[in-house]
Amino acid sequence: MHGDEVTIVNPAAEDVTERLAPARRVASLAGARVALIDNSKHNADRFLDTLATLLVRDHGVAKIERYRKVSASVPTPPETLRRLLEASDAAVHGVAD
Amino acid sequence: MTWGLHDSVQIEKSGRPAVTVVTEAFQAAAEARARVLGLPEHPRVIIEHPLASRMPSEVEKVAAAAAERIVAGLSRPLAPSARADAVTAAAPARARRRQITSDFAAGNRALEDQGWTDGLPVIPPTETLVAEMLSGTTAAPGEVLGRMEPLQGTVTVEKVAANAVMAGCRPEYFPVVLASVRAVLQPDFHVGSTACTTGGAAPIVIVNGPIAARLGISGGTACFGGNIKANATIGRALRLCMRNLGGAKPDGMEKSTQAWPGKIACCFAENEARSPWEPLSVERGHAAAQSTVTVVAVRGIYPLTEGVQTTGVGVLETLVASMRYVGSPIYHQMHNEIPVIVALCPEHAEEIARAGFDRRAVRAYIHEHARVPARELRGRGYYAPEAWQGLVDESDPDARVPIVTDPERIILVVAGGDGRHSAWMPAWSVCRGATEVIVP
Repeated sequence: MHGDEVTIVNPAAEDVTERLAPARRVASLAGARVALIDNSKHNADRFLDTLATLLVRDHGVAKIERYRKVSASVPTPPETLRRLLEASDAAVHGVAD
Repeated sequence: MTWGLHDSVQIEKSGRPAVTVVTEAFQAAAEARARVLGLPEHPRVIIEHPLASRMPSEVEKVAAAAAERIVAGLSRPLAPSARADAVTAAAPARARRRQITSDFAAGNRALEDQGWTDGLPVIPPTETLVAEMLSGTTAAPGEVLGRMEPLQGTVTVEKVAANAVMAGCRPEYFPVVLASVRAVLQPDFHVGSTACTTGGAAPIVIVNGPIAARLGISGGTACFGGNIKANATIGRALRLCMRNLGGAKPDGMEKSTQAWPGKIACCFAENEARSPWEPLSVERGHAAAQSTVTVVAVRGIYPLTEGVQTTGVGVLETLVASMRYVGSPIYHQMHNEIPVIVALCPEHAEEIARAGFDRRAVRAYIHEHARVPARELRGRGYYAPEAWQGLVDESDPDARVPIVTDPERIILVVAGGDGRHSAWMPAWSVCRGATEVIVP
């Protein structure tokens, strides 16, 4: 240590994130089942209503699963998430606003 | 946003592709959160901000314009991200050291440049001062208390000590800081959402028990307002931990629309010496000799003055009238079983007690009378009939919405000095608050 320096303890996070692999994308949405998770922010339901209509009409989605959170500030309960995923091939979460 | 990305990454981990829809105001925060969660390439579809205030036909247009990008996010193969931080490494058990200049002002600038300060000057966390801070606890420096959301920094006792030094704490305050940090790490506190919400929630630390008098943590004159060393520095230490370990800073994942100065520091003691009742901690089952912290994220401090009414009931009437207004953000969130803090000044508390109210009776009175007619909330942002099922009878045109689900959700404390000013503080959205025993 130089005379004009002091040693400090790093007060901040030093974690380096574990890297995950993204899921393989679906080849096509035709015939797929899609889960739509509504974070309950105002107008998120209307946004997802329109999206659901278009996914079925224009992209051949076979089935839409919907779930509305009690609050945008909490995670989807693990059991609910498991149930949604058993019934779906892909998922959309919205809308952070 | 915090939990949207979390849910989507959980879905990706389970092997299903996911897309998160985010308005542009949250674009940067969503990117940061995706990186923290280990999946920077997770597709976000960015739409114009805001969505909430748009007319129905506009929302439909926005959704239609986003549909193709959402489909692409689910079906187009992802290019692997080449980010430099895309490696796995655990946080070191011992915090890294670095050199900074010993010149106070220049050293502070160096810390600011790292983004480690709240904008006010700090005491540089030198090895010597951190070691002194650690002497205030029997906890080992490497003990891991948890991970601070939303950044998920590993919280070690040593890291907390470094932040406590920066905040200006004395070593004897350190057990209170540690207890406060442990409290916000409890799941029911929702510290990650507290940091990221637009709702501007700040943690307030309420100290009970003999430690308050011993350390000079004030519950008397001006106790909410800082300017008292122990109050100011303990509250600030908690906030610096949330900032430096949890990423709660405005150029990071903090998204408060306005926030309030409690985001700098807010800590006070219950004024047990001037309370006509047993302390909050005793009411909640702790021994009188035991010291505790109760931490709640609140939206602000709502003051009330009552200097004309001299009966306890008159004071309570003014209090509930203050709590009973359409603009309060708590009514549409009370179903989350969040609390409201009621801080009575000693003079008000004395009059209320003289009128025959014990703590339970005060809480019952507030629960019964701090209610807004549902019809006044209808059509406002504070109307939440789906969430109120079982709590509010919507078929009754005179139905009233209580401020909390039950009297147990009212956190009643006596605080302040001479004068006739009390206050109430609504908890934020999903924060139920948390209590921890202060361990030496």
